[in-house]
Amino acid sequence: MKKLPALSLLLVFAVVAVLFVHFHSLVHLTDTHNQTSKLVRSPPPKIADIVNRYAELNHTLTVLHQRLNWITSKQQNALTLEVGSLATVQPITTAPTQPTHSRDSAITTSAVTNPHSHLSIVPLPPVSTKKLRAVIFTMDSIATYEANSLVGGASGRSNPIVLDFSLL
Amino acid sequence: LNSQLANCSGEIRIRQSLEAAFAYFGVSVEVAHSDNQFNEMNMNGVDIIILDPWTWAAKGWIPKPNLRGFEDRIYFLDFFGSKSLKGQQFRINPKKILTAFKSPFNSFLGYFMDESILPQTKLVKKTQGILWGKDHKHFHGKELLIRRVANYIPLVSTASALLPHNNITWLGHQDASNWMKLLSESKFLLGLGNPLLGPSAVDAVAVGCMFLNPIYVKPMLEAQYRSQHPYIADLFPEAVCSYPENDFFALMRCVDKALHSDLQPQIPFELTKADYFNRVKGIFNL
Repeated sequence: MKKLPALSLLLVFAVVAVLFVHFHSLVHLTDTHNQTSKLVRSPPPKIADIVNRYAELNHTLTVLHQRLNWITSKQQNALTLEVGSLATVQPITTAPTQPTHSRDSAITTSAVTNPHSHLSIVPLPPVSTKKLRAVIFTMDSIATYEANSLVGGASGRSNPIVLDFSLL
Repeated sequence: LNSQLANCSGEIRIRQSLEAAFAYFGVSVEVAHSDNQFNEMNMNGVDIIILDPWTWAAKGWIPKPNLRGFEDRIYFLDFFGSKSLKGQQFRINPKKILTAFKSPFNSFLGYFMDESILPQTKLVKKTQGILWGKDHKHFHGKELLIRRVANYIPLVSTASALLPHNNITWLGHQDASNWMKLLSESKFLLGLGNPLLGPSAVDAVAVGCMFLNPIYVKPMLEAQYRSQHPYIADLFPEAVCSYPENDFFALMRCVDKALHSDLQPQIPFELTKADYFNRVKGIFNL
């Protein structure tokens, strides 16, 4: 007699389980049917929709392409960093990503203050202990102070006035 | 910078960067301001002698007397670079010729971007472009192209007034920080072919202003340069739009691209003070 409640309980549980599985499968089938019906019933996509979808896809590809270029340029600069033997310094070549700003807004908020602040993160090299002397003498060092001194200068230039850096 | 020196402002920036680096490393620097001053200098005790492709030579393209015997200490600042010096008297290792940007023959020195002249805030862009060039000679032969662009989009220039056009504002000379501000609030810097390789294209990209880079019909300097600024075009292609020189429609496509872009400020790492100072340290063994 003691086993009866336990068996009854087990039986009830089994029935509930079977009902649950059956009901669940029914619901699933109904959903699938509904979706299929929707697909069948929905009208064929309009050309305008296809064009819109294409435009969206094209835009996404453009954005991806731009990001790829950006990453490539970062990699190029990372290479420069390696050549510069600054292995311990982070390759900071571009400004950190900042929020896009409305063209109509006034000067941007403090969140983007100093877009070049990242530059100061890179440490300068150690100062040399050598005591060296240097002399600089270039055309622009003359031009800065004594433009006329070049006239008839003794340096043997083919043109005594060589202030015409015409390509610069 | 003095407006009268507009044509060599790039060289001045190179020299001043070098002076700043030398000062940082404790190198005492003496700058000669005339031939006479230089000729009177005794090079004994001088460790580094910085010259350019003109200032080393006495008449006949031979080394000046006070340089003889000190050839191993001499370096040349040559903006574009070259394989050798003029004349046969002074043979130098091309690696001791230091250039503003990259050259296949020489060593890259460059300069550093001075943070103090960069705008401290990101400014709102105006729908306008800037004509690159302070000297009227840069616009010769380009007048029609400039007018046609100005018919569609406002242009500003830091040259004195040249072409009468309702849509072109001739601002005249701007100091360094106003120049950067102008770039920062403009959509593009329009290169017209000259000046070749000027730092202005780098300035533009540094503040999120697209550089419109003309590709030469006839490459410059013995075909070494095929466009006005290949350095920045290669480094940051998304911030540069190249167009065939004098091709109005290609140029307008670049203008359109610039107007619809929102570029982030970008500075070449090798033009940051830290990397530049490291380079100076390496070149001169400081």
